[in-house]
Amino acid sequence: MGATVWQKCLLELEDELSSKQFSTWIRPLQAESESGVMKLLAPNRYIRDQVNDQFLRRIKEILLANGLEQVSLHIGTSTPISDDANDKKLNRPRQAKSAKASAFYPLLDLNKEFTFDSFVAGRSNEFARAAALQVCDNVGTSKCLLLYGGVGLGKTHLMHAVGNAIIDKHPHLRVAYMYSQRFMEDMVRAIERGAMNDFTQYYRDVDVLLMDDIQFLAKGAKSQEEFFHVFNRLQENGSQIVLTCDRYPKEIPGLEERLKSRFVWGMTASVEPPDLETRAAILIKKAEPETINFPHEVAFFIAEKIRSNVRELEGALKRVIANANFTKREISISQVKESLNDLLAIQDRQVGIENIQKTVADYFKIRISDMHSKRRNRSVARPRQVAMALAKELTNHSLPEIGDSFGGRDHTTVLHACRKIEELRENTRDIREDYNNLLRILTA
Amino acid sequence: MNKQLALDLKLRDDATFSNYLGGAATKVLQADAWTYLWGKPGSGKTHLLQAICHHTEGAIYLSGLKQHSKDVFEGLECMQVVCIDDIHEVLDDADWQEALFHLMNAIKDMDKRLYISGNKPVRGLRVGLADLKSRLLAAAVVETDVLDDEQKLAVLVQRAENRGFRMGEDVARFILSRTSRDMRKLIDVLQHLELETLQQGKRITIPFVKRILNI
Repeated sequence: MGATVWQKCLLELEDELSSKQFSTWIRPLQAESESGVMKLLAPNRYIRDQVNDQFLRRIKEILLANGLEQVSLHIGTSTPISDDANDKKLNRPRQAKSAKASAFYPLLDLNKEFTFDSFVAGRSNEFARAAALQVCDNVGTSKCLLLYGGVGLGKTHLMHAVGNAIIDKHPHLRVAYMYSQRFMEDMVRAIERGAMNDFTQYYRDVDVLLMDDIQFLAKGAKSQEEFFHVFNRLQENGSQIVLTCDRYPKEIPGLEERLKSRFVWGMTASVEPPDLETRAAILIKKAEPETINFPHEVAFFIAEKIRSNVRELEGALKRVIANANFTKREISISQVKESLNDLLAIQDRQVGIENIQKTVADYFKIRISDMHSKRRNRSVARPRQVAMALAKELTNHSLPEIGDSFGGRDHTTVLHACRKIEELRENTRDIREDYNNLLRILTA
Repeated sequence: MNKQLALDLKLRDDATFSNYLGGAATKVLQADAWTYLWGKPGSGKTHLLQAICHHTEGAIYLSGLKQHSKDVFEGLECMQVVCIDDIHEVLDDADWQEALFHLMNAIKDMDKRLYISGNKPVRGLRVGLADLKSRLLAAAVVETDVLDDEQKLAVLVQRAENRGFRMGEDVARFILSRTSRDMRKLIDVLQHLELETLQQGKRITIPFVKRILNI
C-alpha cells in the first residue's frame, strides 16, 4: 500500500510545485513503508534539509490523509540506485537482494568507452596491456591483477577494458566496479553492525571485481586486517580481482606488510608515462571522433608541451577543440597557443599597483618614490601617468584607490592621466611602444 | 533531528545568464562532466555558477566551504548538477583534496555534472594530491570575463532598470569613478541605493548618490 500512496503523493506534489522544485528536491526521495509507517530517504543532507524546511509538512498532510500513520525523513538510500538510469551503461551486476545489503554502496557500472580498442598502446604500457588481455582470456583462473603507475596514465581505462571485454565474451558473468575507499567504508560499517556476513555475501555475488585506487586503503589502519580476510575470501571464492594503485604497493606508507605482499602475489604490471610519439598518437586518436581537422604537427606541438600524463593531455585537447568550435577557427599552432595560454605559460603572477609602480619605474629608470612624489616635471610625471593608466587597465582598484596609491592624488588626476595616455598612445609612437612593452612585461 | 550547520543554498535572483555580459556564459553551457571556472574577483564566477542553477533542474550551489567540514560533499553525486564556489579556500587541506577527488570520480561515474570555481588557473592552485590535480587539469576550463569600464557602466544601467528604477548614464559614470570598479561592490552599492530611493521616494541623481554614499 505504501508504494501506491507515495505515488499518489508524488502526483499531487508535481501539480503543486514548480517542475524545478519537484525534480530537484522531491524526485530524488525514496520511500519505504511498513505497517502504516513511512520512512522517506533523502540521498544527501541538502535534500533532507530542504524537504524538511519546505515540503515535509505538505507531504505529511497528503500521506496521513491517505491512511498512513507516521512519516519520517532520513538520509540514506533504499535499494541500490535502480536500473532505470542510463541506457548507455548496461550489464549492471545483479544486486544482492537482502534488506541488509541495501546498507552498502551500490556497485558501479563499467564505463563503456574504456575498451581495448580505444586504448592507445605504446612502449610505455604494452606489458600492462598484455597482462590485462591475459586476464580476459582466463577469467576466474587468472591471478589477481594489479596495475600501478602515476596518475592519469590509463590504469582505470585498462581496468574497465578488462571488464568490458569479459562482459562481451561471457555475458552471464557479473562484473562490478568499486572505489576502494567506499569498499572500505562499507566494510567498517558492516563490522560495527556485526553484519560482516552480509557484506561478504554482497560481494560474493560478483564474479569480477574491479577496484580502483587501493592506495587509499592505507588510511583506515584499523580495518586493514579485516580487509585482508575479505580479500582472501573473495579470491578463494573464485572472484577475479583487478586492482589499480598509484604506486607499487610496497611503497604505500601506512599499508600493512601483509597486505603489501598480498597485493603483489598475483600479477603486477606498471603503466609508465607515454613517450612523445605515444602522446601524439593518443591526441590524434582522441580527436578522431570530433568532426574537426586536427593536423599532426599540432598533435606533436601539444605532446611536446604537455608531458606529465594522459589525462592532462586530453584536457588540453578538449580545450583546443572547444576553443576552435567557439571561435569558429581552424586548429593550428597559434590557435593552440591561444587556447592553452594559461597552461603553456603560467600567467599566474598577480598584478598589483605596487608591482606596476616598480616595473614602470625600472623601465623609465626613475625612482619608485617618484611615483608618490609631488614633482611635476615631465620626466617623472609621464611615467607616473603611464603607471596610473596601467593600474586602471590591469587591476580592479577604484580611481580614488589608485589616486591614493600615487601619493594621495585625487581621482580626477587619475582620470586625467588615463585620458592623456590614451590620447598619447594614439598619436605618439614612443608612448605606444613603451605602454605595450610594459603591458607585456606585466602580464607575461 | 540533529541540525547540522545549515548551508546557505540561496541564489541571487539577478544572477541569470541574461544578466551576464561576456562570452563565458555560452562556454559554460557547452561544458563537460567537469568544468573549472576561474577568473579575477568580481569577474562573475559566482554569478555564472548561480545562473547554471537557475537554468537547470536538480542543480545545487555550494559556497563558503571553509566554514564546513568535508562531509558536505557526501551524496552530492545524486544531484544532476553540482556547483561549488571558491574551491581555493579549502584546497590547501589534504582531506578536502581527497574529498573533492572522490566527488569528481563519483559525479563522472553517475553521469552527472560538476562545476567548480577558483581564483587561479589550475596550474596555479596548490594541489598536492596528484590524482586530483590531473583531474582538475582534465576538466573543461572557462575563464570568466573581466569587464571594461564601458561594460560595467552598461551593467549598472541595465541592472537598475531590471530592478525597476531609472539611473542615468551620468550617474552610473559618477558611481564608477568615485566608488569602486569591482563588480561585486558595485552591485552592493546599487542595492544600497535602491533601498534608499524606495524609502525616500526620490530619484537617483548625482547629489542623491553623493549624500547617500557620503562622497
